[in-house]
Amino acid sequence: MIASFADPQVAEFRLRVRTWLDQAIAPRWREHRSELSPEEVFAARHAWDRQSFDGGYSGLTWPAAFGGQDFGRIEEYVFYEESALAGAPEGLSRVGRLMAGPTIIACGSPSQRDRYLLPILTGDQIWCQGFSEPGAGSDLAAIRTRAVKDGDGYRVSGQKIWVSFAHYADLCLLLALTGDRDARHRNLSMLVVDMHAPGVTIRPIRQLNGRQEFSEIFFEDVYVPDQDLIGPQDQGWQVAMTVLTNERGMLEAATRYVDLSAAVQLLRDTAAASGDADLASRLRYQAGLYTARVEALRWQVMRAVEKEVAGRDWSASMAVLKVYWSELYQEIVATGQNAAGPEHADAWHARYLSSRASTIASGTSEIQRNIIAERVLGLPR
Amino acid sequence: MQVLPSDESIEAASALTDMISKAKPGRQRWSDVAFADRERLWAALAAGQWTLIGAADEAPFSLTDIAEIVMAWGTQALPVPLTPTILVRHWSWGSAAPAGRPLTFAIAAPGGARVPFAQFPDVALIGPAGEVPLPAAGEPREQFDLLMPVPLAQVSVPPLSPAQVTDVCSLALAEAAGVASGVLSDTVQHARTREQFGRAIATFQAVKHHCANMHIDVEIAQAQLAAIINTPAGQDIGPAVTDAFARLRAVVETGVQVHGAMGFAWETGLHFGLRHVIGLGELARQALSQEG
Repeated sequence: MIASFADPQVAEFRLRVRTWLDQAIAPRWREHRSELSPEEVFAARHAWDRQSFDGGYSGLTWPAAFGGQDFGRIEEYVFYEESALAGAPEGLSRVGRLMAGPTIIACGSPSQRDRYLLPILTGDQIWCQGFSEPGAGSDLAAIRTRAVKDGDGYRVSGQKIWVSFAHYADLCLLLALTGDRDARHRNLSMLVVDMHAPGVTIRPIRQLNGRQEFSEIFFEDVYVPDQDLIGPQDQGWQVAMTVLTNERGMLEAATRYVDLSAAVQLLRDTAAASGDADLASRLRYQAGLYTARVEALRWQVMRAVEKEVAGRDWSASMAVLKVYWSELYQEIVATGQNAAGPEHADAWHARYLSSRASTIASGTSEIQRNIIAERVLGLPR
Repeated sequence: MQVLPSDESIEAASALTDMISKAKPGRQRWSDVAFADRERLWAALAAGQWTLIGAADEAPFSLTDIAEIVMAWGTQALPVPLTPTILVRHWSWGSAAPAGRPLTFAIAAPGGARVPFAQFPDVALIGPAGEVPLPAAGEPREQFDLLMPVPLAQVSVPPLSPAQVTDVCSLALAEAAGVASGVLSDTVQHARTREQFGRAIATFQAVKHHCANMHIDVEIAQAQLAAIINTPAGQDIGPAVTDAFARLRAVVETGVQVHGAMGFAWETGLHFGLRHVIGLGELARQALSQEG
């Protein structure tokens, strides 16, 4: 396992990944992405999961015993950074590979590992994550979707919201109430729900930016067999924390580095196109500061990764990443939105609307700050 | 490339922190007493050979490692020229100077040069060719006077090389990051113990978020420091240095805010942290914009 970014093996691995990406990304995706229909985009993203499996880049840090590549965090970071830089498709297996798979490896039964891990790796099964509810966003322990024991299984009824990939998913990693509502944190269970089972209804959510990337899922007496309970009943909160640790992970920050860099370049392009010399000068100065701030994101991720690999306490360094990149992105985009001329107005407008979700999804900035204050700095609740 | 400091430098930083806590007067992190006691503090550093950190003929620490040690030094915000001494020895300029003497350097400026700690007792101004006569700079009125580089028309020096400018900016930033870490630590402790409305102010979310913001800024400034140290020769570090110092000043400002009216009082001592960060930022700014 590589322990430092200074290790010469990092450059060798980076070159290997880059070479593979070069031949793996379809020319049509690379050069005509904006012309693809939604169906073509779906097909390309789905195919990418199988391509990365065939290329040996699926389950990067999963143990080899479970079909993974046994890479370390540094290799994982390099792979995602290079993929983002190359504009590779984002597969549909993100929830499976980053959340469901590691959770099943850590907390699942041998039967669950046998049934679910390989299809996750190949992309043959797509997963979604059913956690948030209309009444339980930041306060996940307040969920109300209930799983009631019924013979050799459970009957699930309730509603989940803000679910990515729901309209494609085969399976849902679901957090449900199985115990006394007052026994907070000791009344939840993690289940695997068949998204094609009777009683499952999916309704897309139209977002502020006009797109439909999330859905609501309604469960009406959906049957889930006992073999699809992950971990012991009523101990799902601990399982959920495993999932969320992976969700709010450093990999998103690693790929956001590429998005933020592209936004800063768009700011430079906006400056170059501006007929107002003063505005152009201010934008160029601001772009210089933003470049430095974006580079800090990259180094913060690398610091957190190396600390984790070295067994040092990395949680304090990790905690800042989501707040930092999301708020920096909003600031860059707001600057561009305010300064955009006709040539770049559409590009900034689309980014601006989408960016409003950055500080909300995957743990709001307020929750992240509470986590920093309470768990990192030790302030009292 | 070096992302994190070595284990050896982390140990050295911890040892320096221990030494300072025993040597400095009183328990309060920052106070007027440190200014009055500055020569004794320097003597303690010299006795422990901390003044030789980074010297080219000693077991070499990398710049990242030296920064880790300087960061620990910064948590105390002491008015003593350890960082300039480290820089001079790192550049091998001070090899003829006695091991225990405080050293400093000059930054070329319009009409002369700027010299940090020019008013420190017995300090020697060292240039590439050895010691440079240091004209009397007057008696400092307070700690802040010692920190701000003194303009001296009589001093003429060649410009620092780009690598030396990076060294100055990096270690000034490291020391400032240490100051900010110290302020964060004190602010968290204050928030835990200060009670209002029947409970610790740390239980109010607004206060928690202030503290969280301080932590974020300290972490990011440390990441910016790593980026600056590892910036390839010839690339501009100015924006990163500027942004990092603004971030660290914001940490101390927020620390004052969380302390409320007490934060604004001289006796609480947070102003030492604020002035220290400002002084270090000025040193970096002058190095970046030096003449020649």
